[in-house]
Amino acid sequence: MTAPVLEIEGLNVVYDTPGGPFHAVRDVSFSLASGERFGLVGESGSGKSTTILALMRMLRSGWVESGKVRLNGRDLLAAPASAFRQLRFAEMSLVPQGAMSSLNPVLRIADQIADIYDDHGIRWRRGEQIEAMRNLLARVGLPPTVLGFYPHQLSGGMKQRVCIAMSIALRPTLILADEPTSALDVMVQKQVLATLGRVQRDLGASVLLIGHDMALMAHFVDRIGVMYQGSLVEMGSVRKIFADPQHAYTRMLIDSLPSFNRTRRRA
Amino acid sequence: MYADYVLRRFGIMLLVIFLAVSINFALPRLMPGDPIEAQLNRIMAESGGAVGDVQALVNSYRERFGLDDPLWQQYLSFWQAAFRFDFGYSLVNFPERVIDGVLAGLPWTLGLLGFATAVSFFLGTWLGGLMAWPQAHRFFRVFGSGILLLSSVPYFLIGMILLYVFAIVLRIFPAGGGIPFGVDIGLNWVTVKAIAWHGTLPALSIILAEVGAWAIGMRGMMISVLGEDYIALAEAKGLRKQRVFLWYGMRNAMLPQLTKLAMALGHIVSGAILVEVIFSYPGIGFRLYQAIQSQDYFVIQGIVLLLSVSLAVAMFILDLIYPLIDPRITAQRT
Amino acid sequence: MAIFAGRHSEVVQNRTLLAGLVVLGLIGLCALIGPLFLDPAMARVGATTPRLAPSADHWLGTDGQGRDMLTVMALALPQTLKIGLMAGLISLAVGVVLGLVAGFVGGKVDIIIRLISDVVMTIPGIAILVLVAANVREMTVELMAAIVASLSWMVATRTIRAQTLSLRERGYVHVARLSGASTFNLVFVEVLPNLLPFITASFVITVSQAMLASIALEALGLGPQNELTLGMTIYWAQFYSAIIRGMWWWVGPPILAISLIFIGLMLTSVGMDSFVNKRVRGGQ
Repeated sequence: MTAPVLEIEGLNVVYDTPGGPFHAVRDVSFSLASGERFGLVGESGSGKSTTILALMRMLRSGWVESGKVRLNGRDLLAAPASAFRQLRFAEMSLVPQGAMSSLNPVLRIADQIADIYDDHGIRWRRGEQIEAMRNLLARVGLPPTVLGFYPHQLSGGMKQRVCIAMSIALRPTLILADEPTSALDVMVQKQVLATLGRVQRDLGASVLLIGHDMALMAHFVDRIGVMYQGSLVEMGSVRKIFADPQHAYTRMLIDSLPSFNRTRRRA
Repeated sequence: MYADYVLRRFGIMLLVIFLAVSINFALPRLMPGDPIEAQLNRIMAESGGAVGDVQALVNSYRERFGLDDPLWQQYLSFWQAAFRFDFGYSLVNFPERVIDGVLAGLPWTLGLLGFATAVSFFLGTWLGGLMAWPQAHRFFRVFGSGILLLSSVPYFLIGMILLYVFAIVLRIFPAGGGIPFGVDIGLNWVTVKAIAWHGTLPALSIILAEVGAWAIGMRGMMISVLGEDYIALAEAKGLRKQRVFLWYGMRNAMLPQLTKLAMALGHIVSGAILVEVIFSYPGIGFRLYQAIQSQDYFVIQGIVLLLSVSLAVAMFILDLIYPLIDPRITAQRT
Repeated sequence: MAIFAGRHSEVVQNRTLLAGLVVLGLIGLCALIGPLFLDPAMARVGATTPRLAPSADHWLGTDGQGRDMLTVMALALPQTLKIGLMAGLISLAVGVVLGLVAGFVGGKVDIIIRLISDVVMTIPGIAILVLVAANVREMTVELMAAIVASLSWMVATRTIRAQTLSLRERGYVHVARLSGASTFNLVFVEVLPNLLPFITASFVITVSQAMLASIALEALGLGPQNELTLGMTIYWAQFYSAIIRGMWWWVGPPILAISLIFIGLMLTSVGMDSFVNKRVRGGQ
């Protein structure tokens, strides 16, 4: 077995609030193997998004109190700011939650992909960059004309595909997906998730998917971790979690999906 | 959508021009008695009759107003004259046509205003952006708050303080005028230097007062833009912070600043008039002041008319440009 | 964390409001008390030796026409405030009425009121003011206030119109209407009290605009020639080239007083703005 891509040990994240410090993530530990899809599920405020923000070092008015985070063997929390910026999207990329509003409204799609290359010191010969970007869009099922569009000219599903294309621009080893489909309607959700799965397989990257929809999650990931009030209360393969949930909150999550529940129980 | 917008702005511009001309026509006629006659008499009395060719003056005055014509005919000919930019003759410097005096002042005012507005717009926008940017140096927030207070003070008061400190006490800059006597205006280094030298304090008065106003607007916009999802994604993408600031933050927060430019024009022009007065700067504002001093009614009327019309046109043009800069609105005009 | 930011800025903003009110309060106090202790005769032309620098006899010196500057200031301050407050009240009244009518009646009336306010906003106020003032024979403080008010009612109209529109859709106004309340009742009992914070906020802005316009007109020489106001003091100082003659005590006090008034108004307005918005957000 190869070394894990991501290792998190005893992560604690605290926010400042007027009523004193608020413990948003408590003693969370898990790891992702190379090429693995791991899902973190939980209600809003359970600490799953905070975990991702802490990984990306994008917490506002919160900080990592203790814990260890290693990405490809490197200590993430100790990395200096300049090195960390270079590492974003190159080793660990993000597919954001708000697909509708995550693209800069006044820049063309081409410019918003190209600046990832520019700011990571990748120089191209004439024409090569355009070719690379066309190729990138093709992999998420978008025509090359999209490069010349502004975000408002795209549908929600197309915008999220653009975000997925961006996330693989630098061929990272880990893709963090923060409820990437929550703003989309059901049909588009499935297509977008399928696209994410396809590019992930092609790339051999690991995916950390966050969501509150147990059913959608179960179709996509290999393993699931359930978060509740900041703690990781249960973790295991999809089959194991559904067959034999240990924590009351996990049972509640599964019971709230009637159809899904029945088919699994019968199996 | 865009067509509707243009039509509405165009309609408002026409309405403003119509009102400006009509008010200019109606006001002196609505006042009890005949203010122009009264002013003529006063001028003659004050100057001991040495106003120049009084008979010619009176004739031109009669002819201009066609006082024996019916009112509607007077109104029509007033419009005709307005279209020809014919505002009549100066009462004080009789043979001089009002339009010539106004045109002589125009370049000075446009130069001063254009320069000061552009500088304060860019400085203020930049400062406001930095004040909202968490990674910016503390200095900008402290300096910004100070300059915000200045923005509430009328321009010309700042001008008076600058005049006293830099021209009277320290004697670094000239106390007034646009160019020293004896310097011929031409396209050469001496002229440029002299004009810049004389324009520094007036421009500085406008800039000091105006920077804060732009900064406060930009700061508010930038704070709300920095909370947007695309800023978070830009950071996650590992972009350099200068790029996030300029192309993701400033570029989006700036658009509403440009609409405010159109709305602020009237305020800026009003303020600049008095700055010109303080520095005896030979622009339209100073000419207006002199005309008020000498009760030169036609000059007042001409300047007021020109100001209203050109401001209405300028605001219309700015309103037109704004949607072109914002791709979200451009898309809607098909 | 959003809550934290909110609380934090609430403290800061209230401090801003407090600072603004303190500045305005002190100015108001000076305007009320000042005239009681000074002899108005000292503010007449030729009352004493002209062009004296500040001394024990004349704390703020004397101007070029032999007026005691301290007395001039004490008499001019209340007059200037009077113009500002009167103009503010007049334009506020016009603005609130137009805003209520536009918001409540809607339809063509609303379109016309909005058009007029757009047009007046586009016309450079100073140009019209200059024209009107130049045509008036005898300028008085009251006339000045009325002229200035005619061009500063739009902020109040816009604010009140927008708020009336949103109030109109609220449940209790609907209920009151369905239960057969008269329009009069509706406006004065249900709507107007809820608009009070906005009316107060527009009042501060309106007073500030009116004051700016009146001081500008006075400084141009179109103010009440026979009255003492801060703007007229500036005008006479400019007329007699006080600055170029180095008489800083002639221009310094009015500049300081006017600046303080505007800084006080701005702090109040900025502080009040967040206060009002918070109340509304909390109420919804």
